[in-house]
Amino acid sequence: MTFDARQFFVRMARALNEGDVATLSVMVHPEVVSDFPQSGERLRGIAAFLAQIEEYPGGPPENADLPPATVLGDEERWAITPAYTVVPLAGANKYTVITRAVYPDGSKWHVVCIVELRDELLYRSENFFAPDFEPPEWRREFAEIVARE
Amino acid sequence: MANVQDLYRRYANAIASLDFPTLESLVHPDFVLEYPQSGERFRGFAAFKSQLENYPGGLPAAEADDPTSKVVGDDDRWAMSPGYTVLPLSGPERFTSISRVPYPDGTRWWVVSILSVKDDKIAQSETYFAPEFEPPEWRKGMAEIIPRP
Repeated sequence: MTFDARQFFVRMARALNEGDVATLSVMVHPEVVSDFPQSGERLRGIAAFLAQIEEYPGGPPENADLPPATVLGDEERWAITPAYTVVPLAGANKYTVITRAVYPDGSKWHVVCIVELRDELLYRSENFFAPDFEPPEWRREFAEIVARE
Repeated sequence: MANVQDLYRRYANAIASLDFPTLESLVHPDFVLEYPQSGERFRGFAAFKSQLENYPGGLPAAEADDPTSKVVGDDDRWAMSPGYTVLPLSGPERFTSISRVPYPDGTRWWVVSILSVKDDKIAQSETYFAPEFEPPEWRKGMAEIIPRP
């Protein structure tokens, strides 16, 4: 069966949001490295990766109606030769994954992850956490407002 | 095909220096900028320029030459055919940029943008703003701490 990176990351995002350690434990490479550049933290290895999920203060957040993760990169991993043969892309399995997360206080954040796969498992992850904010008054006249999910 | 590393550097430098003639030459006529955290969408160069010009207290300068700035995706955009011919990738040109921005109040934020290229110009930008935070106590036993740049 062909590996479907998009489905992989959608499933992983759901497992992260639900604190589903059993599912995550079979999706993460033993040598995973997960970085949080905003705080300078680096989690090295699957034990540390799972521990930070299990020990999250307040437990897994409530996640009603979160949209599925957006995965960028998957559809771009194929090339068309001059003869129109589709060939798989060589090189690193890098993707950008954008998800929404709900925190125990009820706030919703965007989570943007630059991720790399190895052996069809999560191998590297660089994670950025971005809170919602209200559109400022000073640029109201320049912007449309799109409903947030 | 545009070299996206070079295109991004010129784009970020033009924003940092408020060089609007250069910036206009680098963005597509149908340029769209989105801030998903606030739901704001800016259509066209005039709206883009207005929100840069009117930023209260002056625009935070994107540090395009900061060593922590990087572009993810460019090196993955070429494919090797069975005959070892390197082929340009078909499909939409998208990449992810990560940079650091100092704000007028002295805080430093990470800025992560998903950028689309059309006709060798920046056509769409989906941008997330992520503040620094201190490593939380509960995660201290699991994480290494990497000095933040």
